[in-house]
Amino acid sequence: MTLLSIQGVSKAFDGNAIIENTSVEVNPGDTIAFTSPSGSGKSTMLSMAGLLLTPDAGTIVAEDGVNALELDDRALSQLRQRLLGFVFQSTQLVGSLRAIENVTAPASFVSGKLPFSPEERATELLERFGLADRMYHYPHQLSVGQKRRVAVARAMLLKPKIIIADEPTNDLDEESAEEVANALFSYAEEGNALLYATHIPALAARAKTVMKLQGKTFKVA
Amino acid sequence: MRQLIVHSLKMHRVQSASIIVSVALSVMILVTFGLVYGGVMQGLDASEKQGGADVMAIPSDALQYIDDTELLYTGAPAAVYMDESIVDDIASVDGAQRVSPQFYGQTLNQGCCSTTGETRLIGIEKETDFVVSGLVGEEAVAALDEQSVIIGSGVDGVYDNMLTIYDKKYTVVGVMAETGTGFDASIVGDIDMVRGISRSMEGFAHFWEKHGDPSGLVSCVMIDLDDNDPDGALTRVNAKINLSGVASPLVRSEVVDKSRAQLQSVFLLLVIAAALMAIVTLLQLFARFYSSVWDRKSELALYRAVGASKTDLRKLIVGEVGALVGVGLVAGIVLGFVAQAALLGVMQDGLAFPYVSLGIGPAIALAVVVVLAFALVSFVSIVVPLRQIGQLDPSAAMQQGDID
Repeated sequence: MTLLSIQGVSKAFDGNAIIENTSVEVNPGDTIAFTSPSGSGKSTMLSMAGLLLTPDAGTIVAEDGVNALELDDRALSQLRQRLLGFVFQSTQLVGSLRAIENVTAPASFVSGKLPFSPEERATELLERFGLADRMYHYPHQLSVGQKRRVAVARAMLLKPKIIIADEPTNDLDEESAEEVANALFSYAEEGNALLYATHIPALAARAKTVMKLQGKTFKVA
Repeated sequence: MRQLIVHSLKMHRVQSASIIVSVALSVMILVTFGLVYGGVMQGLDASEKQGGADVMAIPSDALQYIDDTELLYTGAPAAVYMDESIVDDIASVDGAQRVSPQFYGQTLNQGCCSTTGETRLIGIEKETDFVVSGLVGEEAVAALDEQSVIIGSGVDGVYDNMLTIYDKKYTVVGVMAETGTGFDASIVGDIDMVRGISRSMEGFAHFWEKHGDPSGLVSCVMIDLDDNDPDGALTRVNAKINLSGVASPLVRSEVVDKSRAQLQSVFLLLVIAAALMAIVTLLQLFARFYSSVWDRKSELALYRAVGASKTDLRKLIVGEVGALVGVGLVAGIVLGFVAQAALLGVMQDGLAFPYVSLGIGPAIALAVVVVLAFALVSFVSIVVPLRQIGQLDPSAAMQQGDID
């Protein structure tokens, strides 16, 4: 079953078209890389795919056939919780929260009871990413690579079916970049999907599908 | 959500503490003033309703030693006397419906008696009394004799229904209703019994040398005017008292009105000060949360991205305001009740007024009104910040840097 069907989306800012008529189908197990020069629209594309930014044209239909663009704010937020996890280009950790608190933060907004304990899940994820001894550290006490892994754990907390990652290995040394990439690809192999933007050819090459910006449209390379 | 609220409050410790302290102080002042104002107004009402006499005739020189409000409310020891012939003179006036003399004895304390604190001894003429009867019932007044007394609601030191005055035991035959005045700390006895006690007091000898034997003296005359023509009766009674040359009239309604006006002016100023403080607090709340939404837009955009709806973020802000205002409210209410006694003491040092403390019901009602008012105005102060949340762009999370 298609997790997300993005059809013919376009976006312009102040009259300047950034993305035009781009379509992507996201299915379980997919790994899709978006590549283009810096500042050319990768983040905008991911924002639309992540339902953070409303396209000017086109449709985005979620797995249950719901047109996400017609949902009200609350329903859209719930869909985001259920379907999507984000790894931002800068780690976007909250500086005054400990690592484990950053990871559990998304659970704060889930209405109703989760079928698992957020704390246990966060602990398990942080352990899996080699941060067992860093759980109660604040972000400023972590290295860039450790912060990125905390951000990946946060994206996975609610078991979303799609992870959206914007330049997930940016600023990381080779070893850390490999660890983060492995974590993301492993998650996709578990029946989920990974959409990511990168300007690093080697990382893009790991995706099953690479979409390159041609003009203003992302097309399968 | 609770964790994020606590996190935010911890993040802005100084601002949070400042808001809590401001709210607590504003609430404390409002509650304190409310309680004292309510108690004073209740006291004035009780004094007006239960005081009984419309006019008091007091010795002309009494007001040299003590002012009218003190005489009326505080039970200050007024050792003032005049010849009792004034009673018949006043009783003969058309419109003086009921006339009854009182004799002020000495002030008692634990050095002489079983009572604690200062207690005023008052003698009444039980055949004509209408003031004490109104507070304790006619039967108790009729039961007064050489061995019995009636006590005010604030008098203690009574054991087995008996109290001791200068080594002599007296049976308590009644307890007066609370008036908020000196009556609450008074012991009332038959006028001749009180005159007898005073006569034997060494310190009072100079009074008897000056005015004559206490058996022919009174301290004041309580006068109840004819309700059918109160103005005419008042004019005639005042004229009679003034003509006597030994007494001056004290019109209760005038004294009560004067007290009420004075106290209302004082309270008005205090309430204005409290209201201004509350406004400053609420402006502080507004400023904190108005800037906070923009200052925290990275954090809030992140929360939007990870699944928070606009409603969730509004709950977050309301939760933070609620926590700050809630803690301030609880602290302020507790402090308000504590500060009430202190303010009352300060005011009583400079002003004489009757006071009947508010019961638990009105006190709780006051606290609830303050809580609701603060909750409402606090909410109003964050309406704009809450609207700003609606304009937050969740995609901003994609472009933000690290969040402090």
